[in-house]
Amino acid sequence: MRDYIVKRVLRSFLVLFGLSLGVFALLSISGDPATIMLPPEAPMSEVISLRKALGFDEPVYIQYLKFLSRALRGEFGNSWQYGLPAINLVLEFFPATFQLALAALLFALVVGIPLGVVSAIREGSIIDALGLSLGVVGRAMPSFWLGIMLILVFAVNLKVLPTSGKGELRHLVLPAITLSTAFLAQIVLLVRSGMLDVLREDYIRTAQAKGLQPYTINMRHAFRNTLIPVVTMVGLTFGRLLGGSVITESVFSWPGVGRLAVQAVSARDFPLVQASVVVFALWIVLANLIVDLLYAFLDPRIRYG
Amino acid sequence: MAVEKNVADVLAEKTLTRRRGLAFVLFWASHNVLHSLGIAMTALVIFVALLAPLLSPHDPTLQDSKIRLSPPAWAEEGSAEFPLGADNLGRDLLSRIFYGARVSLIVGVCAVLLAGLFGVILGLLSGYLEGRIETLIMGVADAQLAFPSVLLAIAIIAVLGPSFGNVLLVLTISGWVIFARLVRGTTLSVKQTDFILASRSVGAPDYRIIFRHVLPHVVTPVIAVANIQIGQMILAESALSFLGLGVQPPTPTWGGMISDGRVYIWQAPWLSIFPGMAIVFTVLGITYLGDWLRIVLDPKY
Repeated sequence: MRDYIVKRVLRSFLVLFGLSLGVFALLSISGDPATIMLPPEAPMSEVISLRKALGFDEPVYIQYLKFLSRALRGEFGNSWQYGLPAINLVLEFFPATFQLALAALLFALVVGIPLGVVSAIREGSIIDALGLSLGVVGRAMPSFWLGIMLILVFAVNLKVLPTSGKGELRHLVLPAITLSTAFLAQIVLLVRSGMLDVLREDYIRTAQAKGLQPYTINMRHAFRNTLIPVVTMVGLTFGRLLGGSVITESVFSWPGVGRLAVQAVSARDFPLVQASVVVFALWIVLANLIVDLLYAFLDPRIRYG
Repeated sequence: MAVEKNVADVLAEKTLTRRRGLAFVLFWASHNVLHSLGIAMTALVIFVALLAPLLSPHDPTLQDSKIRLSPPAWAEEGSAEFPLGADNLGRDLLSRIFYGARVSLIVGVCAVLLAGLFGVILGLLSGYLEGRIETLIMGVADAQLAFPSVLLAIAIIAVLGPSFGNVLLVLTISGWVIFARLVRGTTLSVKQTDFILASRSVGAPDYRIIFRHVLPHVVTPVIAVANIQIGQMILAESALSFLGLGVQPPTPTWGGMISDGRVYIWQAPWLSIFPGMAIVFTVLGITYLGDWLRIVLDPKY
């Protein structure tokens, strides 16, 4: 178990190291910051002195090490749009993104798991057809369009929910549904196919032969065994939900890091882009690590594998 | 007879009666209909994209302020001249949807071809050579899987700027992993077979073994996955266009049209409804087609 944890933590660091290289490389090819920051008519001497002041006349590996040490201290410079430290802005907007992702995850699980289970138990029924269609259509639909359609129906026509913004719980409903749909579709299909596989196992037949209640068979014997892949996917997806929030937040003007990052891109506000990408990535690496450890805890085969 | 029935038979019969229900018949019939439907839907989208200049009633970029936000033909103030109405700049929506199919299909297909090419080569190399190369390639693949592709796209496009080429670049970078992992797995198992051992023992060089003997075995699964991926790439492209990071105006893109249209959701909801339906239609068609391809290509079915 300890070996596994050590190995897994080391791998996370490796991913982070690769990521820092990637962000640094992107910055390097983004062009000479001195020429971006100065007006085009600035004299060459001024460009050279700014370059020196920013440390861009040093060898690449020194530049990288400096970048790394700044990044580790969370210093990405001030946002060019807001004039505030980029990292503070990102951390200020992060809770809203986290709240949205959590709500979407809960919605997907609460709706998706029962629907998947019932679809499998009543294979071929209307509910199964519904579950399957949701699984297929949910993955074929662009989430931003779904969001706009939900706004059209519930906010514009029925006027029961707000179109955008953050505030009461009502504001959370449409963004959470929008963000969760692709994931919900995956959950339904995963639980359904997992249950169908398990229901064909010999021990299920044994349980039926013993005369157990169908409910006991389905829940105690079948459903429990489909849970492990679901747990894995939840972990992997929670990171992805944060990524998907970029789009959902833009649709609903949700004040989170995703919208902040898109705006930063349009404004070419590099410090803010960097800070949001790094914070997102850190969170995702951490979420994956936690899930892997949790997974090892749940399934002894991985611990000793 | 009845006395000799064992438990398994009883259970089998029970399952059969349950499966004979009307809903089940309908369900399976619809499943097969869906395959034909997938072929038809995909063919229709390709047809429209190819013949967009002939099919479109108007120039998709021509602006006419007189028809700004005019509704579809079946609405009260609509006219048959602009079947789906016109957008905020007075451009015919139907023509723009027809032309939008071009960007979606070209980006979807090219991105999958590029991602597939790199993915297959890297997958073959890492599966066949193993060792350090495999560790390196699969390490990068794992790191990338852990990282959401939207963010990657944002970071890259922030630096390079939005353009057709950069959209392809971003989609290729985020798409190769799935192919590499698939091909690596297949390669690892093909490598264990006797015919590989045989060609190695008669002195065939590695590149010959890889391309003549291993490659044909990975083609089938790659085609099946590639098809599904085209749909996913079209979705990704539309999301980039929606965020303003994709192919730039005036070229009509479905994602861009939805983005323009959502401002007018109160007055002209059709501006965002129809392009979205075009996306769903296309991706669904490709998904059903892929489902059919998988069954046709996979001998195990």
